[in-house]
Amino acid sequence: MNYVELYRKSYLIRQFESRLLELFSQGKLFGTTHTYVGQEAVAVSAISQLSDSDIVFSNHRCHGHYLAKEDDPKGLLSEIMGKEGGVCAGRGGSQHLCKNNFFSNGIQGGYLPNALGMAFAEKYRGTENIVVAFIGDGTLGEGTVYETLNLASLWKVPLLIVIENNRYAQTTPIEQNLAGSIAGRVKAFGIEYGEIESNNISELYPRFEKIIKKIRLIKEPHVEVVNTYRLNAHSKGDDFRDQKEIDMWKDRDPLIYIKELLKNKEIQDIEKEVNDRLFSIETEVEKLPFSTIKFPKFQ
Amino acid sequence: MTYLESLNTALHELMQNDNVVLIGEDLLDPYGGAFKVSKGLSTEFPKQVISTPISEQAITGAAVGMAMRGMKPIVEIMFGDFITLCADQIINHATKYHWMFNAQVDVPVVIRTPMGGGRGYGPTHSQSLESMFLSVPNLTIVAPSIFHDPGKMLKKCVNNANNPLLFIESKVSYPKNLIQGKDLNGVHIEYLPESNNDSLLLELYPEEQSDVLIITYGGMSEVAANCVYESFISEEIIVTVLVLGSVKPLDTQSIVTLARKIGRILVLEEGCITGGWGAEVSSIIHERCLHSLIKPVSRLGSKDFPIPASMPMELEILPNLGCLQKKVVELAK
Repeated sequence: MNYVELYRKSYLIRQFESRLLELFSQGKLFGTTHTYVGQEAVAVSAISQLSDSDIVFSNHRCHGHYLAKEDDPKGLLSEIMGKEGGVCAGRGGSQHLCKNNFFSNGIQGGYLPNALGMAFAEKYRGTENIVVAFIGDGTLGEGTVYETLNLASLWKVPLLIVIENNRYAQTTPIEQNLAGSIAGRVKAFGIEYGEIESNNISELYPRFEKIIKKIRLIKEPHVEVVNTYRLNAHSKGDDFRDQKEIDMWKDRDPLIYIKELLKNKEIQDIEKEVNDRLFSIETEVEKLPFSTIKFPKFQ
Repeated sequence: MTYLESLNTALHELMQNDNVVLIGEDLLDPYGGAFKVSKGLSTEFPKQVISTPISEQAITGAAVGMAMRGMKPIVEIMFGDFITLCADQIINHATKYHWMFNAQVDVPVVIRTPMGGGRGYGPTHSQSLESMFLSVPNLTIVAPSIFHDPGKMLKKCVNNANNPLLFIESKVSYPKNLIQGKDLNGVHIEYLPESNNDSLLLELYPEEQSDVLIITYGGMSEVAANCVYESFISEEIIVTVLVLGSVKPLDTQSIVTLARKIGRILVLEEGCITGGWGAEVSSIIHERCLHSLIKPVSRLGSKDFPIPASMPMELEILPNLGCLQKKVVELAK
């Protein structure tokens, strides 16, 4: 485990998201944004295990996964600001990203069968690739999740579904949304299941390392629940959660755990490097022209 | 050869390519699919026929994922009515990815499904819902009739598709013999050479000026063909039928050329009349051909009503030869 590298990724996500909120408040972004602050350990631990040819499918809260997989803050910022050079030319924006083998879509659970089909295709063609799909606890309300779990179990495909349980579906707490248990639901389909409450990369990294090695070897699905917390609001503003609860999770900030494993000098160097990188990207992207639409010729 | 045999043969040919898979419910032999279009396939190509649980959204979505990884999946949705269960996959996934990801991925998925009534299956197994998908960008909708070569059209769709395509089969046409290249009661079939969209003309007397143009597609084409014959026999009205193979995009060129030439037009579809395909075609004709029109474009489709199971009541809801002829006579006056 290279903690320096893992902290670099975590801090990049944290700072990118924090800058986005600042740019948003300055009116420089289009639409909305859902920040990943507080959940960085999950994306970094899981995605660091993957090769370039593995596939990641993410959701509306996808910036952390994207940065962990593609390390492309410039393409992402340009996309969200609608500038030329955006990774999807400004067509997708914050929730709809695609680069190499990374995809995200903004419909809750709708992409899960897409990830399933991709995993099927990889197994059908005999590759070593696996698919990792990230969903949240809120998505467990969608029926398509269970259609997908059933098929994933029947087809035995190399699919890892990571459920990031941050306890809130937008504003509604999990207790109001979830009957029974996540474990009970997944186990009913005969799928390998694991659950951990952690924001600590030194726990999550070796855990995902084992899970992903096993999926690659036996080519069967696995569902892993990580109980975590988002430290920011669902999107930009309104947050009605109990401040005491938020404060308790601030003490379990994933960045705190990983910093404990690094020397002060290492931390300072990384933070300076990331801040400089983001500053120069932001300056550059702000000057770029907006991307334009090129219509095909109509009949 | 029947409509169904043509499709079944085409699927056998398509599956010579092991990148082509068929995914849907109850596909395996000896059953071979609810309408038997997939008969024999699972025996010959066991790895390529994926029979699934009753999960239309997930199987459509899985096919989308396969297509994004370079496969050529064909989805069979047992009844066209169930396409509503696939709507999120079609609208928010399959047809979005290519454009919204700035052309970084293709989604060559073909969704086959039978539409239409006339078999007494009742309100949820008899509809023609394809017009609900007309306003979905990046979606192609193809619908062969018995005057087409459905298998050839399916092969073209699967082999050439880069984007999602709905392939609408006509339930009542499955057991019928294809009329391709032959005459039906003296009605001549002319395949429009300039059209890439499989448009064709049905005419009794190709050299003579027609009184009325009927524009239609799919299962209604046979009703329109019968109307050509009956209208001349009973009223001496000369009717030309433009049968479209492509529901979307429309063969606007053929529609406009013929509309200007004939001037009295009836648009015929089996789907409900309100907000339907006919409304779109009619609107294009009014926009492009107003000064050539002798009368306003007339429309005929199903009444805005659920389709009853009982045959006598079903006949009152679906368009039939009787009401079509009545409309033709009114137009020709």
